[in-house]
Amino acid sequence: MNPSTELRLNTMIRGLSEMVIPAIDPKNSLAQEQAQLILGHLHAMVAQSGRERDLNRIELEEQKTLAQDLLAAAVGGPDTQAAAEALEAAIKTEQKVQIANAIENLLRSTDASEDFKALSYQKVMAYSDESLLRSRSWFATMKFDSAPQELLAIESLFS
Amino acid sequence: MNNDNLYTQLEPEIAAMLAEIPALREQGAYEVMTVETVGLRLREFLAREGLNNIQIHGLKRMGGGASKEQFVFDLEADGFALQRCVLRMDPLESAVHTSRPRECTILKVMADVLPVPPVLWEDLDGSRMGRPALICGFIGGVVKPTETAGNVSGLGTGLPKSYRDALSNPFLEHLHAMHSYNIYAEDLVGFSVPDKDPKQAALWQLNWWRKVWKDDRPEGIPLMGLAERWLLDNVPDAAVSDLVVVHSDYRVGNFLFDEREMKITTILDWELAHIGDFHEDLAWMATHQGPSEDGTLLASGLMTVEELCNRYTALSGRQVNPETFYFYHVLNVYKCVVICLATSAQTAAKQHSHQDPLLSWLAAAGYSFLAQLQGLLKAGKSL
Repeated sequence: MNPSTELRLNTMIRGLSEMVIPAIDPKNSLAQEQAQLILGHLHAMVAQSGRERDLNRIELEEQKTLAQDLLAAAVGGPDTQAAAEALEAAIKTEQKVQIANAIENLLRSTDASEDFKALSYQKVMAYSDESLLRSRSWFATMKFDSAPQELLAIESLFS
Repeated sequence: MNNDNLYTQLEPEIAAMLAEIPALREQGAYEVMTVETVGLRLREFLAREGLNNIQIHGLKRMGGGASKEQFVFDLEADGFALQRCVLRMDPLESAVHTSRPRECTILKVMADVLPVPPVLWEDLDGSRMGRPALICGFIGGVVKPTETAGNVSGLGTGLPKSYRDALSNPFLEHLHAMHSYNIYAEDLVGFSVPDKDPKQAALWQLNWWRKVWKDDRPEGIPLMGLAERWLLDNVPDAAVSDLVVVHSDYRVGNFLFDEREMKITTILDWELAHIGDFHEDLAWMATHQGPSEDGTLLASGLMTVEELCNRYTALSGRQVNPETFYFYHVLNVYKCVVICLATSAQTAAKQHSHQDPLLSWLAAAGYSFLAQLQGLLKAGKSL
């Protein structure tokens, strides 16, 4: 589509950098701060190049795999059993938020068997290795990360 | 006390504060007042407080921070010598939900113990200023060396060695003074002491942040469920002698210092203060580590975690329990994830702050804290 989102974002960045920000009263520190943050958000959006839907699709698939792995091993008391049943129902919805919430609810149950605690620990750590590297890389331009050398280029997250 | 109650209970004042949030959430976007409107309300407020011939000069917004609307101005009135003041007003919501009456109380109480901003006037229910507000005396100083860059909210602020050498002693001495305050003092109105059960101090904090996460999270995160289970399975005991006034955000970035005299001029951001286990403040500094010139990680960018614990013990006589320290380290990182990925994101989405771009920016820091949480759980220890 012409003009593309990228083109429009880049024109906003130029307009903000060259016209708007220089016109803000330097003594208005809050306005200066917010203008710089908006500029940062725009740069991050350019780097993410409209791939949020693709990212959500990958996350949903990985969550469904994790959910199935956890369900297959979920043993414990009433809280664990109820949470497992809720997770089973959530998977059928194919809704990312519902599945993610149901996974978390199952994991927080303290009446899980020791075997399930050990297995779920392994599964969640392996899942988190992948998902956290992806999320941290997605927001790399915001420069919060303490190990930026580990982060991946946005495009490589989808290859 | 039965276990069901223990594992859901909160400090009463915190429970009451959190109970007000659903009604706040129903409100529309926060309407930011113009500086002119703030000036008019300020003048009316001060007149009702008994000031005559009020002159307000140079009223303007301040930047920095991730929660309150802040204004600085010079005030002069009959019988009130010219003084620079800071007005702090609550937006509808911010990165954290906290209690203005408690913040006001702790500032007044600590004024006899530590350098803190002096509270001059208060409008705790916002009936006069439009939003809950505190007016404090302005204290000069910087949060970081003038010539270095920092991050929003002072996160990741580091100090050069000469600054660390000069500031780490007063930093620890002030912490010790705060931790020496009598937790049963009558002036700590609105603060409850978690002394009914050895696990109560840890559970009040854990239950607070578990509830906020559950209420505010846009979507569940498996690692947060795993961390919550670990925390519930490993709640430490605290003896009554372990209980202190906990600042809860005590780190570089939350105090001002004079660069010429290398002296801490004031300690800021008391809104999360409570009575709890002293390990919580120490572990908070470990949560905010920054590298020295040679890459060594320093707690709050000041000293290694081991040095922090040893120097604190030498000052206070309190022995640091590595398991308890580790519990609070995990809980503190969990809390940072809650603040960033849940409440900041929720507040920005509702347009309930004057700083929505900052809060949505801050939300992204949650993934860095999640990585820290994963690393901590894998390591199984802090010390």
